[in-house]
Formats: sequence, structure tokens, C-alpha cells
Amino acid sequence: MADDLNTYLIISCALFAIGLFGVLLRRNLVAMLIGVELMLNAVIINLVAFAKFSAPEPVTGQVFALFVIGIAAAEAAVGLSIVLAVHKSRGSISVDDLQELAG
Amino acid sequence: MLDLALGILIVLTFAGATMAVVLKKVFHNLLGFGLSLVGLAGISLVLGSEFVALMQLLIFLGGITVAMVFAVMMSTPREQSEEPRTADRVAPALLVGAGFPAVMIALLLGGSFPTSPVTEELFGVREIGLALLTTFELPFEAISLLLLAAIIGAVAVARRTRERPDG
Repeated sequence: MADDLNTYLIISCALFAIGLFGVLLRRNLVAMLIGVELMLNAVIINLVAFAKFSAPEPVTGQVFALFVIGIAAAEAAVGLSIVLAVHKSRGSISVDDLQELAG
Repeated sequence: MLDLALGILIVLTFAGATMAVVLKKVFHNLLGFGLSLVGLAGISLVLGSEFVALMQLLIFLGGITVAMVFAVMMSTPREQSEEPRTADRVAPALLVGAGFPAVMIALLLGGSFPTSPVTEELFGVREIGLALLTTFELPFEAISLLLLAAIIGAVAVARRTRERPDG
């Protein structure tokens, strides 16, 4: 099990699906952000698994995983500051209350 | 032995991920997210990427989760509004969340990826550092610029907010 590429790809796929489910289900901004982070983590597992099993140069996959981690940090910083700004300006962080740009 | 470890890590990861998505209080979601991060770092370790595993723990658990805890403490209203879980909300999410992996796993099991022989040695920090500063120098610098812009942007957005005129 531990030396089969498909095991890790299925783990990653299922985790991505859980994150996607969370983003679609929740209406709380922070909870949606958690879903996005889960999806990014699934991508990292994918990259690391391919780096081990099918890359000519295994370091490349790990470097890509590190880039994903860096971008996730930037995304979380901006996302959380937006959450705080939304909370400050209207006292709620539910997506249902944000409808100015709805058509 | 490795199979057993991987099995435990998978259980940990998915238990945490389910908590992170299904529970209703955001703080409980964060606890589940932390649990699943520990499992994910373990899976990276099983895959032989020790540096990535450590960075995952350090940045996701030590940085992002803690920042989210602060955001939750500063933004959760005193009377937490109950998220309604009506069928017309859960059904589309469930449809996409189940349909996507069904299609992907069917495709995955239908074909196979070309695999190269697995090298058993661990890839240390030295190789990653060399790659980051030679082959991937430009993206590395670009990411540092992106992080700087994100930090400045985050501070600017979080500080300067006007009160809504109509309250």
C-alpha cells in the first residue's frame, strides 16, 4: 500500500473533494478559507507523491510543493485580512450578507 | 510497518478533514484542520520529503492555523448565528463533492502513470537549497516579492476600513 502511487493519488483526490465540499457547504468566510487550505494541502500531497514515484529529478516536485506552501501563506494572510475588514464594516462574516456585487 | 503508519496517518487526516468541514462552530473546524495537518505532514514524511513535511507543519499549523484562530476570536459574533443546513444547500455541495472524486478516481483506475524506479535515499535540505538557488532562482525571488506584496496588502486592507454610513 505504501509503495503504490495510486494510494496517494486517491488520498489526495478525496481530500480535495472534502475541501471542495466545505467551500460549497459553508457560509462562514473563515470556514470557507479552511476548505481552500485543505484543497491546497491535497495538491501538495499530489506533488510530493509524483516527485517520489515518477519524476526524473525528485527535487523538482518538492520545490513546487514549497512554492505551493508559500502561496498558501500569502493567500491566508490576504484572506484573513479581508475577513477582518468585512467584520469591521458590517459585523458579520457570513457570505449571505455580502450582496453588493450580486447582479 | 510503513503500511500501518500510513493507515494511521490516513485515518488521522480524514477524521480531521471531516471535522474541519462538517462541524458547525468555526473553532472546532480549526481544531479538526490542525489534526488533519498533522496527518498530512506525516504522509509527506512517509513519501520521503522530510523538508516539505517540516515546512507544512511549521507554516500551516504554526502560521496559518494560529492566524485563523486570531481571526475567529476577533470576528465571531457573540451570538453565533446557526448556519441553516437545509437540503437545497447541502445537496449541490454533496453532488459536486461526491461527483468530482468519483470521476477522477474512475479515470485514475482506468489508466496508469509511467513510474520511474523509486530511489530509496532521502532528498535532503542540501539538494532542495541548491535547486532553489540555481534552477528555480527566478520563481523563488518572485515568491518573495509576492509574499511582501501580500503582507503589505493584508495590513492595508485590515487597517483602513470605513464604517458604513448607513450603519
